[in-house]
Amino acid sequence: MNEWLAHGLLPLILLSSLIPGLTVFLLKESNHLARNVLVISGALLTVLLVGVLIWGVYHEYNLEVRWQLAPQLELLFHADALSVFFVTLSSVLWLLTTIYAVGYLQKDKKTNRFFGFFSLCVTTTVGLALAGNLFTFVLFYELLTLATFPLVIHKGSAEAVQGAKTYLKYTLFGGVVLLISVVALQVMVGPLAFQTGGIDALKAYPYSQWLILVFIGLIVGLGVKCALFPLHGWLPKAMVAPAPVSALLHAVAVVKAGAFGIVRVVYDVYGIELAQQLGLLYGLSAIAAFTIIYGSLKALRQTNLKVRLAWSTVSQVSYIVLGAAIFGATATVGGLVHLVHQGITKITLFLAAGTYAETLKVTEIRQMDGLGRIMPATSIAFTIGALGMIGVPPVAGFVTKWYLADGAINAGMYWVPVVLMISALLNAAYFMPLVYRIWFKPPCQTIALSPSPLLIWPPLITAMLALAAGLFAAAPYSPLEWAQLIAEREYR
Amino acid sequence: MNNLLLSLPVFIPLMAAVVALLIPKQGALLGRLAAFLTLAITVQLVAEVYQSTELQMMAGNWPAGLAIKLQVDGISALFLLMSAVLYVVLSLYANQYFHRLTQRSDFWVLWGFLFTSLHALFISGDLFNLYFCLELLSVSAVGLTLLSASRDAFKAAGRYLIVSLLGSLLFLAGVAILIAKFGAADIHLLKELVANDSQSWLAFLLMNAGLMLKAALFPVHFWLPATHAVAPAPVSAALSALVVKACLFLIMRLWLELFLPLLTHQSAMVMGSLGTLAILLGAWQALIAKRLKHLAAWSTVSQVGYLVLFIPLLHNHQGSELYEPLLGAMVLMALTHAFAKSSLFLCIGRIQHAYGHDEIEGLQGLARLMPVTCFSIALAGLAIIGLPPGGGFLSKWLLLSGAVEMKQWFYTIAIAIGTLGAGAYLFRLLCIAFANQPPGVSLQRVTLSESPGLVLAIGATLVLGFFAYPIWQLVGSAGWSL
Repeated sequence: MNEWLAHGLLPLILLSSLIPGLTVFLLKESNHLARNVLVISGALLTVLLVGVLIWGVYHEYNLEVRWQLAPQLELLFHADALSVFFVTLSSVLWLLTTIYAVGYLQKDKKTNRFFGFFSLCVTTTVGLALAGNLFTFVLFYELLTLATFPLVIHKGSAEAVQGAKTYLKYTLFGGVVLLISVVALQVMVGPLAFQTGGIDALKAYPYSQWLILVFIGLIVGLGVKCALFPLHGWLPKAMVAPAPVSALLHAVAVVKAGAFGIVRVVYDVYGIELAQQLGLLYGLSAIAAFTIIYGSLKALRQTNLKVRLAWSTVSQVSYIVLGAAIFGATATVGGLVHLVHQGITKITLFLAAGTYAETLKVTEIRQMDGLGRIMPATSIAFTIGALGMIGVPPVAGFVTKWYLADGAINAGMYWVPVVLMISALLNAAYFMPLVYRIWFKPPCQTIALSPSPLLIWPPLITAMLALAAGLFAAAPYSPLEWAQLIAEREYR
Repeated sequence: MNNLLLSLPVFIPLMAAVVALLIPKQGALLGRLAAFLTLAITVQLVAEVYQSTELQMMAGNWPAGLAIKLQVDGISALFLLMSAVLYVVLSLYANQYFHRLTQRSDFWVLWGFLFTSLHALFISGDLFNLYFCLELLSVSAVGLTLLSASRDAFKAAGRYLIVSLLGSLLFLAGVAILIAKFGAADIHLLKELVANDSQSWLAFLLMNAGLMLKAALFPVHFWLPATHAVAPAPVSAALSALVVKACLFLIMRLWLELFLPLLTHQSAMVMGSLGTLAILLGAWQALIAKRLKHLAAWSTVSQVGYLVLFIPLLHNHQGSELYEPLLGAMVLMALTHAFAKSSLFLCIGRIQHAYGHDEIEGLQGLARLMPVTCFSIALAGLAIIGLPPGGGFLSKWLLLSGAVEMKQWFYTIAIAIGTLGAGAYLFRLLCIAFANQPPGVSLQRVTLSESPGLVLAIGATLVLGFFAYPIWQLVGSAGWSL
């Protein structure tokens, strides 16, 4: 039993999305039933296996798998608290988004291609979450770019092609910078297996200017996916993708992969203390703070709903980076827990926006008047999401801001709570008008609709999850408690 | 037994060629049969080399009485395997590609001679034999190029012929100097005798120049794009994947085995600079190419640059723990490129049959119209760029490690730009392929199977990406390590 658990669980989790993904390509395009059953059961299986994983990591089992690919290059999967954090988020949201996508793409002609690559994206995300060394992480990080490309370009229109080209320009550039930085680090220090608190060999490396240079390279490479200023340009353009893609990938998987990578680098490669000593945290927190404000300012000017949400993502993901860049357990907890909170809240917003677009052809903000009356369930979900983004209790977002502010004050960075406040105000400035329009303006159209339940329930469920994560933050197994566990193991 | 095992990979294709000459109608069947047989023998050979504690085997006299020495070590076994696998896959594809009887009969004769010379080249142990192989290789390759029978083909093949003959002459001149000075043509003997004197240097420069011409290393790469673009698809595949590799293999043998005492920092850096320029020029030209075949051919020019870049790295890391990983990485890169580039050309062949052209701008909607072909192109492209999964990723990582370790930022930046350029030209193609197809596009039915391209692409990425570790064990036992 223990053998199976230790060596079999991680590959199984990867296969539970890989095999359905590859199989879907071989199905007939017209075979809806087989395809839907396949992808949904694959997603369910992944969630189940992740449940086992949570149990295993909580009880500190050593779950690890290795495969030597070449001299010095070993594929290593290792499940620790941080990887479980990210894997759980990805797998649960994947299940909900798959159900949503089934409803969204009913009239689409390329669903095999879509679901195939959709599943492969999950495999690559899980792969990088479970990566136990930087080599494996980089491998799956690049694979993520490749798996998301067909999804961004899915519609095949001139706009989609343009969006995909922009996406590739940024991500390939980031990928090469990341690759060179990691190769350099491995040449300098040796094998780069993640170690809580920082890799010993790295901490013992005498030439700190090289360490600083490599750190900058790593942040640039990771910062592209994470949409840090000035590498964020691809994200608003990638909104041409179908709503499930924007929701899961660009609100959750891709941007989180970048943020997750930065968290890994700061905590499990360099270690927070070395990062502090080298003065790296100042620069990182400055860029994160700038991105937070910049993203919000740009969001204010957008008239297209999805693009406004995209700029909001640019802003919000930097909270995670900010949390990583402030020395102290409380701030770490704040940044980490935002990984989950931002994920569920943002996906709620994107799914709801997709439902609006698909059923009512609402894409611009001025078309959102009175939607509360026409589509109440979706609008409730949207409102909860918006409140979460602003940070209104009891929805999940406020926990993050609380911990971040507290941690910053402890670390003597008094400007951070100011930034957080400005950001909250800006968030309110670009979300509250939407909520107002939805509920308090008379509708432009009075069509009563019956949209597919597949498009209604997923955003509602994620909204409930966002509410629960905030309300029950103190409960066992909550994202907050999990984040505290990670931070505690880091600062031990 | 060893004698038989060694000589068969050379003998079987030769027989196939001769029989195809005498009985044209059976050429195709025998050609494919020969390919399968050769692969089986080669696998056996590689297994022997892998297992035996003494990893070199000598063949005695050739049955006909010419004193030819054949030997196999870990590295040549791997190149031989690469050639044998492609022999099978390309033969199957070629069988469907060539319809007209005159073309068919000519093809199988020349094809047999091509593989005879290739296999003999990989396992030859003496220089004169190598010269003979190079000549036969050139003649077969030029002949195969001419099968397209178009005006462009005549021009390109003519240029190729002149370049090849010049290259062989230079090589022969170098060999003649060595034989005159040392009285031996056996590589193992010469290895000990070569010293840092002017005759050895002259021989080295002549032979190196000749091989550079044949391998299309910058600045003498000018003949390659036209030639590879104009040849029939399976021939282009063989040219890019095998003929160029064989010449690169010999360049490596010159630098790392035969003329090791002459491998100085400066001479290695010269090759490194040429390699760097090849990488950048090839990537740029591939990016602006209008036709798929030109894209693929310029990509080969770029790849030759990457492989040559290993020379200064290997020189610098002699005796260090990075030497064997780098050597194995070079072999892996060569193998990956061979499979990936062949796959690419085979797919282009299908596209040409379906669309009637291979203009990149005209391929909108390829992903929906020819999904398997598009997928193979994508996989093959990934292997060539060096993105995961695939042997390309691993070998590129190790190449970068070597460059960074040497603090050679010039090389590092060139590799980075080359990688980005390759990414750009692949994704330019894929963006067009995934775009919606314009109305009114109808394709011809294609009788060529999609499997050869797909199998090779999967081989380059998944097989070589995950199961390549034995390569280093084979490489470690070759006589090239110090």
